[in-house]
Amino acid sequence: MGKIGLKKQDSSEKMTPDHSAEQAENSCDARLSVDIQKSLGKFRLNIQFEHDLGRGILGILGSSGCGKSMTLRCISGVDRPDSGRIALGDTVFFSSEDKVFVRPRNRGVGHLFQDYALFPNMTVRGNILAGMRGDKRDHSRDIDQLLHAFYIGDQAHKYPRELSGGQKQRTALARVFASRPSILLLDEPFSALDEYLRYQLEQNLFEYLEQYRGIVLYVSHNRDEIRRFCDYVLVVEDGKAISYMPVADLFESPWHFASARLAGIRNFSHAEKRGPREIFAVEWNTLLTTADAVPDDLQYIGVRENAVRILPRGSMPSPSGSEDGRAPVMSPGNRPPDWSERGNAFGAAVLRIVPGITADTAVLIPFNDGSDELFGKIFVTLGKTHLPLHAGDEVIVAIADDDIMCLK
Amino acid sequence: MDLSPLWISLKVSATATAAVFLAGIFAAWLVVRINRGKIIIDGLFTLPMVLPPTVLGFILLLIFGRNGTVGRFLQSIGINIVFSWVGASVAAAVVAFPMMYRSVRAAFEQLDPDLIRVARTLGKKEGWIMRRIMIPNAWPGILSGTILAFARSMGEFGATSLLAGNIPGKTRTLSQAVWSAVQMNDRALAKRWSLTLIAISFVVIYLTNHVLNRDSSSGRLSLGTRIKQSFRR
Repeated sequence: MGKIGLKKQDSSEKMTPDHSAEQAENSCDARLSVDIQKSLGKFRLNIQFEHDLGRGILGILGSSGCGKSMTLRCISGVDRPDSGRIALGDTVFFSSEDKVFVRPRNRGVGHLFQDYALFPNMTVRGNILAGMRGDKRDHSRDIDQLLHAFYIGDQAHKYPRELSGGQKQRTALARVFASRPSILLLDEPFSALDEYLRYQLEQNLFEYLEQYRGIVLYVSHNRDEIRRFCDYVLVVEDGKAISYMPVADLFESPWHFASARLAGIRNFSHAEKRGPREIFAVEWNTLLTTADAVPDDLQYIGVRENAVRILPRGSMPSPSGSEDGRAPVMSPGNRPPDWSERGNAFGAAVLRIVPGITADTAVLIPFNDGSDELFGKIFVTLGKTHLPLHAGDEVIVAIADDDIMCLK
Repeated sequence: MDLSPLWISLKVSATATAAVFLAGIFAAWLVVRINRGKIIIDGLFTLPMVLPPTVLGFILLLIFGRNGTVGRFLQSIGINIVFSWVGASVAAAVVAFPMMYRSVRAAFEQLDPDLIRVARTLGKKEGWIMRRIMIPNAWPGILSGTILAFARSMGEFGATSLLAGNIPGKTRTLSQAVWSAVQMNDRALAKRWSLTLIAISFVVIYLTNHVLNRDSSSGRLSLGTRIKQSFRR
């Protein structure tokens, strides 16, 4: 696969060499800073963040309708913020204070739209040609190179409606790279594809992105995609950026309730601080002790599914489950049953068992609970050799004190 | 038999449709782009559709007549609108304009807005976007708007009578010929011209459906390809 996007050796002198050189310059040490406000109906976007190339790909993670896509549209200029400032390196794209609004066509921002937005009246080749700036006549070799690099040479004369999902995506990418963007915005690049296509296409996209020398923003509501692709993550909720951190941190220690949800945690309870290391979990209706000091602005607690253990009621081995002669600790692993000394325990009833491919999940409701969709229910990943559990069984839930995450 | 009403009608309608084609696309493009004052401008552009043709004809007479500013200016450079086939074309164009404008506007608004957005981020100018993205992809709407505008021009009577009169061999169109024949109690002639109008309208509608049906099965192609295909079938 040839170098894509920024090949400036042979062909660039024909089309505004200053411009492309400048873009390459910018993209080496560029910093994107965004601080914008925009209202649309009842929705209000108010987002601030900065990111530089040295920190790798930035994932923007949030549930649908949180303002991720609108943020991208403001950066590429197809939407105009009400106020604020957007700058890439020394170039100001938008500034309400200085009355600057650079038209999208002059920004040099590559924007990959969710459904790819291929021009239906043009062939693959025509679409890529449409991405090229400057004089059209000199592009035929560049196009051949791009067609080859994105494995769409055989489709060059087909129309978008004749392409598979993956071919559409690659055509859209080739078109974006043809425009030699100084920054690349990817808006849910896999949402239009079937699940089974994704894995392979992700590998492809990753290869292309590795060769691209510019800031990449990757918008997704899918935490696994963000984890695989991105180095940094910006968590957005309800139009606001609530945290910016290395991707690894998001999955290690989420600080915010929204981050925790996006990181895949499902066990939540409202919580009140009762002592330096003591919490009252409202929906779980129990006092819990934590390993670390409890912050004052605590609002919720969260616990991972695989950090919860289920003990039979009264910690007695259930007669029907003793065939393997194991200790009553069922999940996960083999912590000694002295959990009560450094852990917490409270009673719960089994609501149902959800079969999974690798492991089953038990859904529990605590006694005296006031649980709803989000709070109260406890999801537990069951090990392979868990005792048989049935809906209606009464059990004891055990959570180690260092597995309780304090959230706000 | 004097066939002049047929030729005058075709000439007037073709001229009016050509003018409305360009003006309608441009007006639709303008209205889709603007944010402020959209409702007022849209109302102005649609007004000829709901106004009685006689009122329109009277307004046009005020504008293009010997005492109107535009009329006087045109007369000074040797163009006479009133009582000429050009006047009939102007009347037909004004009456048919909303048909074109509304069809094209609806077609533009149904385009995926991301197509226009992505073209902008790829460095394309607005003129390029209109020519290469909006018009080709809104083609079915543009075509049906054109056909409707042509059909409306063919049937125009009220405004034409006021602005261009009903001069045999000069401004008498098919619909005026029907009216005159009925006035003179020449039922046979009125029937003939009515049947001619019905036949023309039917052919026009048939062609539209033919081309548009073809379109839905073959996706979006260029105009030339589409028309070629529709005749090959």
